[in-house]
Amino acid sequence: MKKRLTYLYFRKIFSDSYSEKELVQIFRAIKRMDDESKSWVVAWIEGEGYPDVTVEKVDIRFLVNECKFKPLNAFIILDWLKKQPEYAKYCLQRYTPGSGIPASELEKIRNGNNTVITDSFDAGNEYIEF
Amino acid sequence: MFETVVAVIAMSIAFGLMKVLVDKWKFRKTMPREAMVQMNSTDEEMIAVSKNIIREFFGSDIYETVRCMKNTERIDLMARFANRLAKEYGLDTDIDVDIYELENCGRYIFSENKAVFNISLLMVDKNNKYFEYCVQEVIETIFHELRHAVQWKAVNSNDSRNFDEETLKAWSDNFFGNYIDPDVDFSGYSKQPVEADAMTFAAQIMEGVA
Repeated sequence: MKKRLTYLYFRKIFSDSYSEKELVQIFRAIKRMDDESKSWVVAWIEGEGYPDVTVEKVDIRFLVNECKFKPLNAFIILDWLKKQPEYAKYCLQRYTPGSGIPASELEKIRNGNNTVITDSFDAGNEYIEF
Repeated sequence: MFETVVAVIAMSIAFGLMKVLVDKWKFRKTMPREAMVQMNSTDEEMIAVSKNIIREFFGSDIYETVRCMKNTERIDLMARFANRLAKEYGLDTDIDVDIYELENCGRYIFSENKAVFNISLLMVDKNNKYFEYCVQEVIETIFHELRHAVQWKAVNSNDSRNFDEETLKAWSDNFFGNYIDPDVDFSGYSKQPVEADAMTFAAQIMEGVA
């Protein structure tokens, strides 16, 4: 029988670390993972620790401890390395902390008119099956 | 002396993670063709012109040209190179070349229409085994950030340069609503419209020239 991780439970656990918009982005990314990767995330959320698995010579501990990615981001990256290894490696080699458009800059260019695009994300009914 | 020390520290921070990943996967990866987004005919022209400007500034061997220069000459060259590109792209963007930035290799500040390039990676010794990697990274970053300036101009003016409505809407939605931070979802960050386009543009210019 399949188990479910609901968005509401996920939000309850991680709401101190991420904004609502970021939580939706991460939840969607986890939903796109293959079943094996999803099971790693859920096991970690349930307190079982990081999986002892290496993809393209990289594991979660390396991504978290040396690359300084947050754990959920590290799981997303590990799943990406499985699916598109060359693309993921190209992007990772070019990554430096602080890349991307800073939130403060996004705030300025939006001039207070944030168009939060949620693409009909129904928080109360979203779940991940694994 | 103090400035040199700060630049070396900045270089080692910016370089630290990249070095680890270059070592881990043996060599610098190129962007896979299947991951690239479609460039339009105007983009193709910009890419061809950009390749010519690289030759104009660096000759036939980019690495040797930079290798023979002193640090001050490298900084000057990169500043002139970035300004030349901005002019060619029809941008009135301010260009600032910095060697003290501790975090990233470059950024475009949308609210100020300013591109800041951290070229501390160019302070690397000419005999360093990662020398070519550093030079390539700095140049590719200049193209990447200037492409953001082009996107921003296209979204905010009537000068949409042949970009189709679908592309402009995707960029606009991305800037104004659903931008993904690399520290939140690095995969989503890399694949979102404005970043995938800037990566593709820079990667296609670098193909065959570095």
